[in-house]
Amino acid sequence: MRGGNKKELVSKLAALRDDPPAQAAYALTLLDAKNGLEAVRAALEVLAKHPQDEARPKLRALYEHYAAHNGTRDVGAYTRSAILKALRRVARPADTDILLTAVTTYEFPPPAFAEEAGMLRGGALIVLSEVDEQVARYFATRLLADGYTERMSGEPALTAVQVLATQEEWLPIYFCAVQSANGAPAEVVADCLRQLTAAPLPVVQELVKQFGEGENLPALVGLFDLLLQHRSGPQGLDFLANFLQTTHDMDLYRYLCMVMATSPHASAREALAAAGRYELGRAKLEVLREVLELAPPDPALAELRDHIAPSHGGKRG
Amino acid sequence: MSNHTRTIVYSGVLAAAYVVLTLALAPISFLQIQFRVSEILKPAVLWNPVFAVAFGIGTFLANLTSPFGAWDFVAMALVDAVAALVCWWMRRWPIVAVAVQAVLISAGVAIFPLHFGGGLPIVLSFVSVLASQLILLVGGYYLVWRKAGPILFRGTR
Repeated sequence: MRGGNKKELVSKLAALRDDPPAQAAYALTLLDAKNGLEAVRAALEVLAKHPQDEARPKLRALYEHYAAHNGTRDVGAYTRSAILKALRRVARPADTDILLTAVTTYEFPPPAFAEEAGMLRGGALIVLSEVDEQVARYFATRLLADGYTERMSGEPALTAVQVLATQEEWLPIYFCAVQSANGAPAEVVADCLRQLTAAPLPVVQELVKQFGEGENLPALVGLFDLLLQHRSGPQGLDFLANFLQTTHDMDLYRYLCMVMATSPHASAREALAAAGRYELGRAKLEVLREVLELAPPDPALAELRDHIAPSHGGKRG
Repeated sequence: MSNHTRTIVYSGVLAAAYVVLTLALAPISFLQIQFRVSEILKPAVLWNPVFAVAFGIGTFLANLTSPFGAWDFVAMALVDAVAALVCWWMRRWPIVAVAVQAVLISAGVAIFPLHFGGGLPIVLSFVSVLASQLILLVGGYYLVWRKAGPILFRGTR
């Protein structure tokens, strides 16, 4: 098919945007590599939004086409990732073969020969978890410790954390968090901590000791989330109050103030109010004022707002 | 931003950067003894063959002011685009690929602008230009593109 005709296919697909069933039906007809990458990717995007059962065999064939020749037809695995997104809501146990292939795909294309299929493995794991939970659990644990986890995106380990958390598999997540010194990306460690909301309280206290005084900023954010969202209610409020008073990192300060101010638990809001009353730093008071303006109505926060109003803050700061 | 759009944007940026760097350093960018710093951009083609067109256009525009006239802005634009394509074809061996690119460009410079345009001896010009080309292209690959390439250009082809 010539370039001009291929462009027309994409234009025609876009023109059907106001009629989703017709657009999905037309997208089905574009699931052929001969139509060109642009048309195929546009069709996959439509089918991810409007899943069609009839698309399943075509999506499988398309996946096999792009996976052939060691993935050289799809460098970076972007098209295969899009295929799995379109397959997600129509996948069946019979698709496990393709999903297992995808979840164990490692590709090192030239010239950098760096591994580039992390997103594909993560995407395949999501679909696999919806088709076969038991198998997905094992592969999620494997991908959690994937030696080729991308430093920038944290994939596929980030997806593995989500899948394991959905299945309440806490131990691998805990293991990944406490072994963070072994090189897991900071965002992955943060997400592991964030997900451990069912961990027993002595375990949480140990995590506060391990991460509370470190300089791993994403991990600190994960720890704050864990403490404030723990299933048995906010934990480590003394640690959080102390952190608010001693930190010099204004980004972390702003984040912690915001999550405490918007917490559904009164104890977290009260801890923020108590810590804020003794705040003297001009920059921190400024952040507190901004946060309190956005916070939902609350008696403790209202009192703090009055206490640190510019007339007070100006004199004290 | 779609991959297609990213490729076009990066192509434009590379072509423009090539022109600006060449003209800003014009005193050392032409003639038999040259050190065209903008050549450092060329290994970027290892990540996307479309960049060969960008370098062809960049060379055409940068060489419009060349003392060797059309030998420089027409012939060298074609040579640069072809050399870049050869580099991309050989991307499985990146160091060899950029070295071959350097050899092709040096040969082109020695033959077209310097010999046909300026009447200078081919072999001497070739050796002189090749030295700077190898430093810039191989060095550029090692110092810039080996790290930056996968981050900037991933998924653009």
